[in-house]
Amino acid sequence: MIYGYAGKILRVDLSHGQIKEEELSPTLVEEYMGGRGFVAKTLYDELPPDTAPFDEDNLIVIAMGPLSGHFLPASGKTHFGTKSPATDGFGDSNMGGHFGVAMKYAGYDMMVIKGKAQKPSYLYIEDGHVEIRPADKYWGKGALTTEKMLKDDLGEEFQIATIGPAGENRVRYACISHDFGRQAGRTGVAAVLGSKNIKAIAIKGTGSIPVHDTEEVLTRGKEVFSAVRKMPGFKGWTPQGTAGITDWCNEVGACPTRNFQTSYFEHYKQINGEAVLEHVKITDKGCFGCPTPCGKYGYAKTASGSAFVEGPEYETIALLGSNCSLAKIEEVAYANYVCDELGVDTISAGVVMSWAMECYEKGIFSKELLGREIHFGELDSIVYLLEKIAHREGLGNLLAEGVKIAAEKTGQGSEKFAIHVKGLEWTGYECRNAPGMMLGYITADVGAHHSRCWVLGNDVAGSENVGSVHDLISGGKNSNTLPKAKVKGVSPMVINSQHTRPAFDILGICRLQYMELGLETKYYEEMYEAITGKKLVWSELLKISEKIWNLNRCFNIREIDGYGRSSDYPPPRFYEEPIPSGPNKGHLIVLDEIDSLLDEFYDARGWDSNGVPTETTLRRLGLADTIDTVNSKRSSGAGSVK
Amino acid sequence: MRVKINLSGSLQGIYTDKTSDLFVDINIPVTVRHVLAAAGVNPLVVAAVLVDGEMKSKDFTIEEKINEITLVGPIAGG
Repeated sequence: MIYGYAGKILRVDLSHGQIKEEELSPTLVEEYMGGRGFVAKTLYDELPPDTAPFDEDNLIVIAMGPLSGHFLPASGKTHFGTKSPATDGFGDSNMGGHFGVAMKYAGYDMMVIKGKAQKPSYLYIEDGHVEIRPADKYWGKGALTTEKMLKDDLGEEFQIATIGPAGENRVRYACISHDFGRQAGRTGVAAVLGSKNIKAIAIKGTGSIPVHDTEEVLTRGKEVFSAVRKMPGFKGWTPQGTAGITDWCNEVGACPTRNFQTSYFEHYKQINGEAVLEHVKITDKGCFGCPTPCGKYGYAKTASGSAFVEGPEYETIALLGSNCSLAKIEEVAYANYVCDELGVDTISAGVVMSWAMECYEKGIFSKELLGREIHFGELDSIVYLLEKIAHREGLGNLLAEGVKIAAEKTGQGSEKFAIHVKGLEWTGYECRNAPGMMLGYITADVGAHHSRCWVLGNDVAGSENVGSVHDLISGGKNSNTLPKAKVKGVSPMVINSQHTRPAFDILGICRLQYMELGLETKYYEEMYEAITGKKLVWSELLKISEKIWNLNRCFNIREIDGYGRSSDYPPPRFYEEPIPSGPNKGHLIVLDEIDSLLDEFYDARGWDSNGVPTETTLRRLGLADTIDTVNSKRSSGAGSVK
Repeated sequence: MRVKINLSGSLQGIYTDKTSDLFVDINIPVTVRHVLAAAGVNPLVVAAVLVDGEMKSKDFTIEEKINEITLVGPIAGG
């Protein structure tokens, strides 16, 4: 028995209809702890090298952490991983709600799915009983609709993860949906599930998880809940949730607008957190055990359609809102609903559609090619494009490939404004005056995703050393113009963030109480000890996080030809075009500065100048078994700039 | 007047030198923006402000006695 864990791994081979259980390995627990660590290690060890994302040998790994499902705040985060169809490299995505908790209560810390079902199917799991069931009646249905149908068919107590038509049709940024509004949105995990003919996973778990000291867990749990509610930011952050950052992102000129053409949206007051509360929200909605419910469930009424929807959260506001120039929160919320039902990631979809709109404006795409006019700021254009993408109809078939592939196939200079890193579309923070944030995005293992690193606030704070603080404080004539942020010396804070933020995905718990409210690490350490009976020193957790970071780098080096430095650049728009308006007008980070950022970062990480971990680094991290593979790629030119 | 300044999580990560016992002396009337400057916090880094538990803008003028100002830092996610 390993305290804190359910104790078993569920293995499903869809091609052969085989279902097996195995004991959770104490070595895996010791070295990788859980969640993201389990996913990374399993993919590295078990995925046959050079497997294509939609090959039936690709794996879907779902894992929980040692703190998941216990009596402490927001302990319901589920981690999904696969070889990503968006990047061809390591892909993962983290989802809130209750799904993984049910999986753990059903007896499983991890589920590994391989193969391909012969026909549309879903996984039925009721405690230790597992079946591959036909899903013909659900195939083709929307993700939200399918969840409702399965709950009607199986019972409200089942937790459901579904894919929509986009996943069925292998849209490279299809998302897994759960709890009528929670998603594993990024890196196309749902497209891989769809390629395996799996429409949904339904789980009912009624078991329990062994803990080291039950009384201590209850005592500590109560303390943590109480501490969270007393945190200084609790009242300031919870009411609006992530949507509350919309004003700030515009104030500091970081809000992606019209396909990242600029970084300030003039209508942001109409799509901010207050607008969500005033025009959309019905009630708060939280994940398992959450005392700070950031979800806002509401109703969106528009001329194009109306629907109940969870959200929109900030990322959706930024990418479907300002980046597509939608200036009414109800319209952003409705577009959010359409994405949820079709099963596409709102972030990637927002980037892809805004790129298509810019292509149309520039005459690269014609009305005839598209089937109609498409315009920034027009909800009908967005709904039209989303339907085409999810069903791969007309130009939607190209757009379903993601902005990288779509731009490569389209050419005509459209690659310069295809906003992605490594094939994953950029999230909601414009970085032409945020060098640390830029570095975080371009070096992330999964591509441009804020879950790996977020230091925008540090970039803004750092800029005061360079510019006129007096104007910023006094609200004087230059108060709306930011000085250039400092470029040198940002690597330590980026690396620290890259280890800290994903650490919560290892523990299987939400990071927001720590990141946004400032809950001290001692609470996590004490809970971990009460649950597992083992000491957790925070710095040791960060070492595991660093090890995973390097393991994923090795995975990508193994799987992608030439992976390394050449993979770590932003799109040309960010180093060639100064921001044309807003607080950061005139700023950009030129290519030489990006190179110096990368040099400093690689050096700090113990990677060579091509971004490949050195042997010394791999040995230091306990990754000696990757050295032969990495060296074989190193000698064949991995990472060299082409 | 002595005012306690509370920094929420992400601000503690940015201003690692500022402890939970941060106090500033102010004379009223004064704007929140100036209080932040006195505390050594760049107003641009602050996403939201609570004055004695009430949400206020950074340009809010403090005209009466208050006890504490809570600064909510920028957040990310969703």
